Amino acid sequence: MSERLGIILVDDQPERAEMVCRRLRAAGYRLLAHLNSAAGLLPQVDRHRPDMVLIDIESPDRDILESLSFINRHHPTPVAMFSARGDADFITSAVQAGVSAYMAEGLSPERVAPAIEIAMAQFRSYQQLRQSLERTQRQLHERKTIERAKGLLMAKKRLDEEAAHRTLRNLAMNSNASMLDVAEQIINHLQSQP
Amino acid sequence: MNPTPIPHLERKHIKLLYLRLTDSAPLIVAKEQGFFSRVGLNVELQRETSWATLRDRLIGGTADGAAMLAPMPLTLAQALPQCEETLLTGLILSCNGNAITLSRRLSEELGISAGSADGAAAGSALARYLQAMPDTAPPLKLATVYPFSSHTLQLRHWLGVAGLAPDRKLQLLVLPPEQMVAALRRGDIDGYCVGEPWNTLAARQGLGTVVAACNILLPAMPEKVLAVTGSWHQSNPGTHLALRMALLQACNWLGQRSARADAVPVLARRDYLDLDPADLRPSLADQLHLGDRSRPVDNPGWHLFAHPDSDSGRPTEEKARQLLELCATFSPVAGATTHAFRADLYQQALDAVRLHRP
Repeated sequence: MSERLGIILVDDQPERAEMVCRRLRAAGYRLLAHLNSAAGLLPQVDRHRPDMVLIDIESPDRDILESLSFINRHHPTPVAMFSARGDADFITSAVQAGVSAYMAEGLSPERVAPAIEIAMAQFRSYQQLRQSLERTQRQLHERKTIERAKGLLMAKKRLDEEAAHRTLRNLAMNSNASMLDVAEQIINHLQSQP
Repeated sequence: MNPTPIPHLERKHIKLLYLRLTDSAPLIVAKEQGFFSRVGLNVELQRETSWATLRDRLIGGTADGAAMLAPMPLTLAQALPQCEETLLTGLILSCNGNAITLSRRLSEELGISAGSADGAAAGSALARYLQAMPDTAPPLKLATVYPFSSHTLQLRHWLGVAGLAPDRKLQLLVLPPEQMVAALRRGDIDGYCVGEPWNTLAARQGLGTVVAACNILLPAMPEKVLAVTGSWHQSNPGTHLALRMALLQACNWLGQRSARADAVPVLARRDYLDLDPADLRPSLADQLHLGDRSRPVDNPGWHLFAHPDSDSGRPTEEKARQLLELCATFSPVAGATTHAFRADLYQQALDAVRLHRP
């Protein structure tokens, strides 16, 4: 690579942006700017003349970027991921990962492809992080709710812990519902009683 | 009613993309009134925020079809010069449905705060205003929803009639439809051309004044089409036919005024457009709100959905040519293709729908 490519990242998720920036720097790219939204993008593009702009595919700010490139050929042009590898699989995986990319006029798509791939990988692992965090929180919530329902059963129905647990489990099995559903119903029901 | 004859379906589970717009109604109605299920399709509807995102999701193969701006399939080569995929349509879902709204501040400075449907007086007032504006003043900004959209064509047509074009004093930019009202409120833009309900919403809240209904500027312009990729159509011709049948029937259903009233609360739901029914109701009842101080006026044909007995749903190459001629007034359209409009596919759907009509 004769010259290191300069990149502007537009991403409103700070943690993810951090991950992407770190990896791109480690791979030898110049991170010219990281913006939370495309609101300040125009002056940044004028100042830094990036080789490419990486942006979340869901970002409504992409429209602003596309209209810039449409109006003024000095701005990054549509849309690198449709040309970088040329094959449908590359496009599909970029779209699924949620990455979109714009590149400067005259740049070879081959040169921007590795940067898009790095962003794709980071977007995907951020997605997995988020999902596993949500799963953990869900499990925590579930355990708390079940414990609370058991406590109410123990207090109001004078059951011991073992019996309260059995009651919940049997109710769930008989009504073909989850323990969580049954626990929530019991909490609602027992709380509404004086 | 006879059961609908069903084509052979290559796939039954389908995902369609749409934006938060009143004329996404055919998709929502086809799902909620059972038109999809009657042709054997199980359809998931996914809301997107911007036209660029919707376009890329469809081309990336993460959805089967989309309610898309009519010029988009024609100008894919302009938008994505390196993309090898094509888009095509065999059904124009609707014509019309857009209007031009100026900020309250600008409309008051222009002396047209009562609003208007035909746009003529507003256009001349804007021309005088721009002429008197000092060169040092910040430019006026008008927004449209996509570079190659009916909105851009309508906005430029309105400006052109008044002898205006974008220049140093007047800039055009692109914003997603659902961001228009917020951008107008913040003063980031001075006006926009957008689909409903975003004009009605700004008018009812007193944030903007409607100065032109686009169906009066350029009647019966194709607005939304059912778009699929060329390769998807190749591998799913039967499913595509079933989709067009169901959507043509949904459009037909939306031709009745009472049906439209019934559709309003469904469209308004949180999982669909997530909007106040009071903002959706007027345009579907052909009522045009010009501002918060004037009574709504009649605007026949505010939304013109496809209908088996009219030609408004037929995507002919002639209609494609007319759209491309308008695009060519402001951008080179070399490589654009009228073949993306497939009247033959429309005829298939029409024949199939007529087969089982009483």
